[in-house]
Amino acid sequence: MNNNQFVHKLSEVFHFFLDIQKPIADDTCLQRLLDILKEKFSDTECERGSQFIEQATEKIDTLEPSIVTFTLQLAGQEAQKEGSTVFKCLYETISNKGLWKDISIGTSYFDSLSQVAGRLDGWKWLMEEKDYVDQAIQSLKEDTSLFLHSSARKLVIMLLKKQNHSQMDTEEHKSQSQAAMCSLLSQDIHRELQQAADFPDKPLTLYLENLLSILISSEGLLQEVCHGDAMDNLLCVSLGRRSRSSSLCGEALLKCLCVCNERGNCKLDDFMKRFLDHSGNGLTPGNVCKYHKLAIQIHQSFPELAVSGELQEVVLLPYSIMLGGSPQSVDTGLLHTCRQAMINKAQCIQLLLHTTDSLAPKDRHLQEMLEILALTHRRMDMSVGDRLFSDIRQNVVDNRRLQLNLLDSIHHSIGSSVPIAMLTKALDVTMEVSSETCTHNTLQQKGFDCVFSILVVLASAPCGSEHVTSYLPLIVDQLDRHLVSTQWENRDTAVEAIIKLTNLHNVAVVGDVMRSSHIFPSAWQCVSDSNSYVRASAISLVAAVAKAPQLCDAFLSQLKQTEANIIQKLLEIIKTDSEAFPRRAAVSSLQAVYSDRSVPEPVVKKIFSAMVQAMADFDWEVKANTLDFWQSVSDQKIKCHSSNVPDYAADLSPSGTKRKFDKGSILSDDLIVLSQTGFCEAIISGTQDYDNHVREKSYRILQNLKRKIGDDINEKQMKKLKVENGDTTNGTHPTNSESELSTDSLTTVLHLLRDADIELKLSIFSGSSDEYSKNPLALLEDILSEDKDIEDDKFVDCY
Amino acid sequence: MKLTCLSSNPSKPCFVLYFKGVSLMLDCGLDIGQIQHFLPLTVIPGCQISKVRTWNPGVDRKSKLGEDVCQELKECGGRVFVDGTPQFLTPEVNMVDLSQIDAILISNYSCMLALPYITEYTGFRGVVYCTEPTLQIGRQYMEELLTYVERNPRAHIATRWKQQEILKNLPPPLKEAVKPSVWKQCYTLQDVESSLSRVQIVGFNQKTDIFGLMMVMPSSSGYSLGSCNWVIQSAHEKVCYVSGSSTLTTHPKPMEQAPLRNSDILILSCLTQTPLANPDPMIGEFCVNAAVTIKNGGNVLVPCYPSGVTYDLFECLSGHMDQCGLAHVPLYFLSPVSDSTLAYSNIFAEWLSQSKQSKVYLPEPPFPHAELVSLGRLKNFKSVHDGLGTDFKTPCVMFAGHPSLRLGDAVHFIELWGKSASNTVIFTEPDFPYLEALGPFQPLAMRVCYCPIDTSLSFAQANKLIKDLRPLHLVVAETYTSPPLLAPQRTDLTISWEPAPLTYKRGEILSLPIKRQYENVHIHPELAETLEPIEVKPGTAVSMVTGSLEVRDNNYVLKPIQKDPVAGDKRKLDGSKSKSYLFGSPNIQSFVDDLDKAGVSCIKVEETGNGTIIHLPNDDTLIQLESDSTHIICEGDESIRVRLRDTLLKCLQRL
Repeated sequence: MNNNQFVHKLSEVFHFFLDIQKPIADDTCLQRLLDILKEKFSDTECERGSQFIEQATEKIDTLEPSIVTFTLQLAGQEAQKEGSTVFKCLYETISNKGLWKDISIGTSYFDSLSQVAGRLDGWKWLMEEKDYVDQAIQSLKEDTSLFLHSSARKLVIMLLKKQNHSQMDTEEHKSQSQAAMCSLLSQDIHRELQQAADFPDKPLTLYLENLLSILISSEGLLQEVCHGDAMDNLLCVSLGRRSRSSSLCGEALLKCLCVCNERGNCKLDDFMKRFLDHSGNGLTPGNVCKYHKLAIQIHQSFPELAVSGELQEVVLLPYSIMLGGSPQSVDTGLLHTCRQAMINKAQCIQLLLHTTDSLAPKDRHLQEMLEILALTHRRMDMSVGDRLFSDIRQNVVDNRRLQLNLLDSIHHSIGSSVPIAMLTKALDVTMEVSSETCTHNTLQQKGFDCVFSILVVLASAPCGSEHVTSYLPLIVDQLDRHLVSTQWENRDTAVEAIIKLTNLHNVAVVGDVMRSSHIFPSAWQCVSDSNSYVRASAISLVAAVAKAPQLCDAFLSQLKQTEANIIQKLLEIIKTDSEAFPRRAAVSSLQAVYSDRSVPEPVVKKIFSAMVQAMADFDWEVKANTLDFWQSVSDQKIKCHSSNVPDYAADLSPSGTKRKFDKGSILSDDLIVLSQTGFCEAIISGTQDYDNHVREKSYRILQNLKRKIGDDINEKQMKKLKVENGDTTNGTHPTNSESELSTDSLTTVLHLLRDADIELKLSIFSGSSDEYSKNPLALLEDILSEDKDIEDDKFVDCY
Repeated sequence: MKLTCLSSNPSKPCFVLYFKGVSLMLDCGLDIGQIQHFLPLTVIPGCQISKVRTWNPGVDRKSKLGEDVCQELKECGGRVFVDGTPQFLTPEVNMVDLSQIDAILISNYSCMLALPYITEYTGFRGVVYCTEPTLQIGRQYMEELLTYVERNPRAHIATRWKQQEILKNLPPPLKEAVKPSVWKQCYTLQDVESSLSRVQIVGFNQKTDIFGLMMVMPSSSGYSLGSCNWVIQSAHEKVCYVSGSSTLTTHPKPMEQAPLRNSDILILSCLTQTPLANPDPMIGEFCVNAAVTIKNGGNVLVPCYPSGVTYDLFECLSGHMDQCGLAHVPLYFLSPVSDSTLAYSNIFAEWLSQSKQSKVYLPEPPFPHAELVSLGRLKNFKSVHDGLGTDFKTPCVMFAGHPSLRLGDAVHFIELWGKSASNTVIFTEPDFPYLEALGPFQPLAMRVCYCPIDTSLSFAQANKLIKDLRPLHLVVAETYTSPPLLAPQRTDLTISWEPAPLTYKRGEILSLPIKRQYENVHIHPELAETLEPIEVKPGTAVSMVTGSLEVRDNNYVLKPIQKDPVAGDKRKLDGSKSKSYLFGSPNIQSFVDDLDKAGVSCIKVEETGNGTIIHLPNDDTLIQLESDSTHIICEGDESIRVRLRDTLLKCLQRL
């Protein structure tokens, strides 16, 4: 791109901005221009930008508001770059004229000032000029716009952060304004919090929410605010308000507790005593969830507290209630309130989810989790006397969210240190939960994941293999039933589970059971399933089996099929299946068979032929998978001939016998062999494909090939190859027409390798698709063209 | 109003409702469950069942019971069965005079199998009302049952074991058989024809007049083709009879609730027989069990009825097998009425759900089994001897009757396939306990699955329905008020209603708490012309009416009095004036003021909850004034009484 041309156009655009009277139709172009100016351009553009800002400041009254915001954003951006406060005049003008009260201008104004505050000189200037801080605080108090609040908060936080920074660096930077600002905000926080605590029915003011957001982000302000009353008020407000306000207060409270902890004084312990004194903090069944969540957060943040044992019992209270236990150190008031809360299904589940999430795997609460998971499955017959307990337990029956959550936690808790008895119990419960025919498939999937992870641990445990042997037939039976489930998702999950089980073939017991069971034929029958996902999964089983040599024979004998028959079936699927998923899976499976199994020559030929045809598939992913196959064929057939192979290595043949290295001859042979597989036709087809991804992949294969054979492809060699290929065809290799085709294709490929700028092609494919990024001048031209084209009635709103 | 319960099984109900002098029988279900005590009727002679040994109770007991009794009983799999022609427990007809039954209202085909026992040889003279699908499918059920019984008859009828003193010495469960002395043999085809000839077909929401005393109206109950609930309504009373109903979306027309609202009495029967199993997951289980068996090379036997849920099973299973790549596996349907039941199901479009009805307009058969038959995937035969052998392929799914496993072709297949563990029998009908059904075939190697599919109302649905319908009084089976035996703590599996519902059981007569208070009377136009209404308050006018009441066909008509010249003259001669009528309530304050004016002293007024008491201690009198009555208790002399009367009359309005 011509830089001068761009600078010239940029000047034109800036002039245009100064004169326009109505907003630019495409409002995204201003942001794009800012991005371009930020990233790509040099001092000349900056100079133009500075000039524009000065001119805009002079004409601020007549400027279109969107241009004012653009100017402010540009000024902020430039100020960051320049490291100076050359645009003070702009901010002063906007401040004096009160333009910052406009929402969009105000938002850009505070954003811009935040950027100014990012540099030390800018920050100093802002701290000296008290007006800007006052404006920000005033904006926070007014119920205007969330965007304006966010910008103003950002500015205040920036200024407060610097205060802290200055304290650490040099004392001289500390100004009275900072202290005053901090003190002012602290007083406001105390006052607003007190009011919020006194009137629990009123929602939090926006100002308090803003102040709390600032408090969370500002260490200095936290130091100022962190006193007993404030923390009590924060607790009170966090328990009595709706979720966002509650979480904001909770977060602020945790930050305050951190400060207390760092200070090392006894305030934290005092507060914790008050926190655990449930009679004093107005706990009700309505807010017990928030209290519990806060207790979890405190427990996780301060594990070394004096009251951590008591806190731990509070955290585990929902589990204790559900399992019918009564924790000793939890007072009866809290126990009663929590039980009352858990009658409500939503709260009960919420409390249990929080508890489960709070348990780290090392905490060893596997027993409790398993018991609760068991409760979610069975409908318990309760004794008539304990209606409350019965009602609470009914809440968790068949609750999928809780079941998934517990299964996740159990999965992560399974490790080699878990005793065998616990592992078998976990197997019992997880199998029971995932056993029903109509189980939701996510639950079933997680259940099987959990079961398999337990099996792996159990198999490696001493005497564990006996248990695995006894459980595996049950698991296989369960999978067999799920394979014919009424829900296709369940059938799909079952096939995937069988694949996972196949992947565990290295676990001796698993291999034995898979060999003796008849699960493979049942799973393979799913290739005739009506659902394409199920078919695809069943086809993928072939790939999994191909990678498990111990199971291959069992697979074929159970199916009463030969390898050739299976491959024939996959080829049929590639040709005939109407859905893309099975075809993709078939291609991948064929690749796995080709790579991992030694397949007879006639069958290999069939595979090559099918893979050439697969390149004409309608689905780009089928073609991409096919190209993966061809990549592996290429890797196999063409050994590395590049110059980085040392001579001593080049002198050795793969078999170890000494052989004279004739680079040209081996290359020719390999290329000819490769071309006879159909590789060249497939790659040519790929390079001409309509899909960029396929083309990119084809060129990448060519790039790899080129790297291997080196850069010395010349006419002479190509002719030689042609002759050699022709000679070979006279011998053992196929019909004339076929050989002609492969020779032509090989020539085309070699031409491509020699002539095509593969790197350039790849850079085009992998580059950005955004035209403006490629050609910023176009953006400027488009902006300018608006001046001529704009007619309101010509616009069509595409949104 | 009285209700007599004649059936011991609430799912096969039979009631007689006495109302306004009319005797209405509500349903006449046949409890076939008792045939579980009989040995199965074998299809092919010489099979294992026919070789079971005679019961040997030991020498002592044998001598006590008698050789002939032991000959009637056979021992098989540790249980004793009756070796004789199957008999059925009919409703308790001895409690009522069947010749006095005016009409029988049938709700659905599964609640009418006892009809020939009611209408034939009993002097029954009434009319039977039911919908057309109920009639046709009911006929098929009866024909199937009697064909099964007559096709492979037993040589003799076992009766000696029923004697009370012998019965108590027999081993359970035979000794617990319900009233074996009243069991009856199956009716004949002639009885069926004769009985069904008394049926008068009605359509949904069609009102039928019963002797001018009440209207009966069937409304769709969503349970099966043509199934209905009955609304029995007089001018001032409404009784709703809710029989087999379903709120699930299956093939029949959905249940209508609106006609059942705000009744005085709601009689509820036929709730689910399997409260612990939901039908939806059970259908899934059924399909999965069948598909697993087929995939592993086994055969599936489904003992079933010829209609109802069987249609849904065809649809679901064939669809599921298509999904699982088992479309090539044949489905066989064996029943003496298989032809007619498959054909009839597709011509009752107006009785089907909306989605199935809309298929008819395409035009397509509403049930997919028509297509399955045309494709040859579903093959139906009357019996195993009806050409099945020439076209039989395994693995297959065999739908065959009878679900009790005592009759029909299912007996043959359970013997044929019972020895292989790769085969499966799947029980879907909730009418019979599956373990008892399998009793005579033990030991059995084949897999047994129990997937009961009962689309009747569950307890939760029934409780919600009752809440919506808001009847004044509820009548339910006694068994519905306590949890099932298998889940004694499940109080949610009961009918809960405030006030406590009235309960019925076999042989009980319930007095229903409805008293007839009003009757509609029509005024003859001629008489109506003479009326001169006077408005006593806005919107309310009254008039004196004098006429003669005529009753004909239970309709009341008030007509002008025929002029009697003699009497008229006499009255004229008397010079009597027309009588005046008093109405309204006295105003207490003005009454007290008037009493004061009349010279009554010392008046004490006391407000009570219902009205006012005025106490006149000097005159030893108490006047009790309530909204609809006034009592004067006066112990004083006549003059006081007259004064009080006159004062009170002054305070009332006059017409």
